[in-house]
Amino acid sequence: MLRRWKSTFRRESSRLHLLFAGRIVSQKRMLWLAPLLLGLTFVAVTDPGVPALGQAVGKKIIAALKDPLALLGQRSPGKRSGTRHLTKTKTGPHERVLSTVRERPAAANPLLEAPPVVLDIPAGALAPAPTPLPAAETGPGVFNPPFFTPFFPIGFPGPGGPSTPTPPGSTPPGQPPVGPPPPGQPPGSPPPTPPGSPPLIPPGPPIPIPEPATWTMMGLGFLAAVSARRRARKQRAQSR
Amino acid sequence: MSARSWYFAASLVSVLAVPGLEAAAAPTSRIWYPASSYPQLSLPDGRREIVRSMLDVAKPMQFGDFVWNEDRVPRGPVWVRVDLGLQLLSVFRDGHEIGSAVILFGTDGKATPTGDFTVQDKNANYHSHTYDAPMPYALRLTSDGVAIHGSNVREGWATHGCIGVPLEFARRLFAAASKGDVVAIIAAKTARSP
Repeated sequence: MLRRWKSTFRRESSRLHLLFAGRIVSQKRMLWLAPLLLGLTFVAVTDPGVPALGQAVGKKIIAALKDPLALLGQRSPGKRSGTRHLTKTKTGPHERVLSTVRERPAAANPLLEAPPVVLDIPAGALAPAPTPLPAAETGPGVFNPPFFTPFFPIGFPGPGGPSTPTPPGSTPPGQPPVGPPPPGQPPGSPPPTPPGSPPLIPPGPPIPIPEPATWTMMGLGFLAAVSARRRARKQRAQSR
Repeated sequence: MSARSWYFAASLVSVLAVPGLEAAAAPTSRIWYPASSYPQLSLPDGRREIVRSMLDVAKPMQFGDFVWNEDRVPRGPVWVRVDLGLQLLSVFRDGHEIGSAVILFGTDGKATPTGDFTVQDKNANYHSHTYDAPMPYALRLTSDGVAIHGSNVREGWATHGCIGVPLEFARRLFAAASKGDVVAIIAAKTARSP
């Protein structure tokens, strides 16, 4: 009986202890919050009852917020420091990457470096001046030697020549330009070149030359094939 | 009801009871001034612009930061205030601040001009031929090319006289501003409120 009372007392005392401890904590919190609550309640209660006091409090709060510059200064990252500031200056060359389309200079073409060919053509045999070509046909890829232009007019009735008028500069690469043969020369032969000038070699497609890596790969493949065949032959001889 | 709940309820009541701060507890991050006492901001030419509300930015902004809030702001005249001393740009519409950003501006060699300007031209895809640089959402202020435009706003950088703002902010400012709107650029030492 006594033991039961003792255990009950201990259990209840521990409960009371916990309860009191919790109350003390909450009372401490209330002690902290009480002044705040009192102040806020005072403002709330006095405003409708005593307008002057409420307005005074409100004015003080507004005064703190009144200056927009203060708000701007609050959010500002600060004044600029005295250190040197970087600026981007792009005043250099404008071409920064190579273009995918490259054009050779005109002086590199041996045909253009050659002196003009002068042919003896009677003045009456020349047709009227040709109309200029559109810009798309006179690009760098079109064979268009300018010095042939006045001497190969449109629609010259030469032997073996085209029956339809051909604009100058439309001669395909690799063929001699169509025009009147000079006197004393068979028709269809290329026009004569003055002595000392480079021969007229029409620009054609470049001859494909394998690069060293290609050569190496070809050689290695050939050696591998030969060694495989030798090995197979050896194995065949051993099996016999 | 716990003590914390009582505290919040009491503070809400007290704030609502203070005249002129009715909307301060609203969820929008804006500080509203009472109609009886609107503060004013002075422009370099002596004019004064009233301020009805300001954006509530609690902490200092970093380079590249901006705020924009035009909720509940009516339509009206737009003007821009550029404070070189604070390195801030603020956009006002009908007296309400609707945006603010940290800016880049000119350095000693090519300083940003100060004074009152107007937006002379708008170009969303402007590319400077002088500097070979894109200047998106440009609002040109002077005939010699000084403009407010989108830029990579980083600390320690400067412009050649233009005013650089973050790109998204520049897009919004470009949409809000129109030709003829006032842009007040205030030098570092003369920034002062009446």
